Amino acid sequence: MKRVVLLLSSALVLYAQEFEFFDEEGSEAIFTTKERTFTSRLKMLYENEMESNSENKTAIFYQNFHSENFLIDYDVSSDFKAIKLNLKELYSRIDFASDHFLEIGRINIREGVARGYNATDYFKGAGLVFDSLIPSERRENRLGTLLVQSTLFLDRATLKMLYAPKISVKKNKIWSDKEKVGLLLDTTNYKDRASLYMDLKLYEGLSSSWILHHNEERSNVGLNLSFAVNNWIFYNECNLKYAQNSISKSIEALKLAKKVKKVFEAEKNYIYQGSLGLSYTSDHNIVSTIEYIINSGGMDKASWNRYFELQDNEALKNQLLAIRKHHQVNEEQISQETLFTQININALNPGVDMHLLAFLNPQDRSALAEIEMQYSAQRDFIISVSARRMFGKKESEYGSFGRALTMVAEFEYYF
Amino acid sequence: MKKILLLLLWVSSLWSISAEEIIKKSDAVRNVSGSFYQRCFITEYIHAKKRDTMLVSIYSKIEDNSGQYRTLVKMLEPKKDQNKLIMRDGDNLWFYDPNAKASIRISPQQRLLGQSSNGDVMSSNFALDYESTLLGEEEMIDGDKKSRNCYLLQLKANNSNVSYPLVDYWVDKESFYPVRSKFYTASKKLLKDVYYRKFKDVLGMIRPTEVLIFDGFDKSKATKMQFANVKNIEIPDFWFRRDYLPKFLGD
Repeated sequence: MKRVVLLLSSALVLYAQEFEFFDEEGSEAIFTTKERTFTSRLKMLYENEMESNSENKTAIFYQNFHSENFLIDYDVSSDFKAIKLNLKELYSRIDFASDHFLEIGRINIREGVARGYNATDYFKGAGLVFDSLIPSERRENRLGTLLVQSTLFLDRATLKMLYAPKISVKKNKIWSDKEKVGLLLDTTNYKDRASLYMDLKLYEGLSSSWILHHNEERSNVGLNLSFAVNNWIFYNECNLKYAQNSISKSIEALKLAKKVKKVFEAEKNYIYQGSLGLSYTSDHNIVSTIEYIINSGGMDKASWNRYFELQDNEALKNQLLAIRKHHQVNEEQISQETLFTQININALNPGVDMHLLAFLNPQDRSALAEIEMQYSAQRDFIISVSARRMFGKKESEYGSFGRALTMVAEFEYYF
Repeated sequence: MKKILLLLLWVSSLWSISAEEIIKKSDAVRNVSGSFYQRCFITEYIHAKKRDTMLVSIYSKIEDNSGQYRTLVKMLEPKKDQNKLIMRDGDNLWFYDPNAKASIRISPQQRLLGQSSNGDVMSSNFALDYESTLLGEEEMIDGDKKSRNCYLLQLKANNSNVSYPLVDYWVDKESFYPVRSKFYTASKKLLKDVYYRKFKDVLGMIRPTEVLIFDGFDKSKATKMQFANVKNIEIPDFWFRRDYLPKFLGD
């Protein structure tokens, strides 16, 4: 399937103050900039999905606006069939003191030091403008949650408290409408949630973030650690909760048949989710990252075998595909173990960057891999070409996607 | 006679300057004291042709306990990088991308533009980060093509906080102006060859306002960093916290 998507946005100078750099003799201005300008982006995306019958998604249009204590950020997306306006962020900040802020409105909360999977990112998943298997794309296209957040900077720590209320579902209302201009607040605010964060530098080089998160069903305890030595960065992100395993949770959320429930246990247990990773920057500026992801509530090898044994039953197969999709949308790892790796080669050639990314399921040896080449043709014009492919047997986590090969070409112009 | 010679040697050693003192005096030339703001215009050249440019704002403040600088860098131009932030507090270096709303821990060696890395735009105190040895004196052609009598020092990193483990550093004998630095890997491979130039009066002291960086692997690649608009300003400590990055609204 092929598609072309186009985006256009406009520029506005909010407050212009010219600032000039002069040449070596100090006579001729060599560079002039205006402060606080409105950045706009024009983006065209061409996607060709081969060897697959899966549905295509729409690409992104982006625009944002900054002012002293107010922010609005929205996307307009279109595949030439329908245009949709997504209000990603809209919030106001009140400064109680120079080191104490209160923010209220629709805010995109994003936590976690890991690159492949963020176990402590409690607001992930719900309300995606653009669905993708690539974590960075999902993070960029998430709708904010309606919440109130207070941040206090202490001498050696930062304290953050937030509360996000549940918004009831009322169909065909502006706050829940999925069409054109709906806010989708019923999707982003589907539960009452509260979090307490504390950021603490334990000692030089070791940074930590401790989190207590509570929603209507359960409490979570989260921890983020990161440590740097020379060119190496080590990180660990983990979450502990007393809950059902993620498969039975999806079955309940999707209201699937009892027969499916029987296949997977629904007993509550302590579940540990986390990522342990390290990143290295070489002398030639190649940044390599490897991350081990664990989800004790995910599918182990026996569960995957049971999953594929059910494939003969068409009704069950569709329901189990829905479970996998539910994990994808909620940015949760469906397998107990996953390996994530990323290599960024900056300035491979002048103006050319290369990014390689892969998720690997070591239990069934299936994988998702992406290669992207990015070329800055001019100062604010970027051309990128990427290819994504699934590897593995038909009876494997990634292989069962249908060995999809997707080619994407993107053209971005900032002005 | 022997006693007189020993006495003369002892007296001359009193008058000679130590490597630590040279580095401290040179640091005072390179860095503004207290907390300050400046802008840096970075130009990348390939085969002497301009390839790309970047403009950043830099906020620096000395940490009271360590004496080392904490730095916050905001990208202003080009538009594709506008509002991205890099923050350094000791060994903690974070990159914040407003599009992804993500703060990622990065290494100072990661590339910013051309031959300049994140660590190059961060204010640094060589006297605190390196053990220095005075190797001797040398005549050196500086970045403005003037001949200068210089001290040649060898610096070895004393912590993992620094971008470069080994440095050869030339400092003007009279003025203590930094003249040239060669930055190496731990195995003594040349990473960058740096010249300091365009010395001008900045906040009451003559300082370099331009830094030329030549790639150690490929001599056809060079980057010019021009510093301007330097001013002393008050900077709150919490600006150097990861949680503050999404809230930063400064220019």
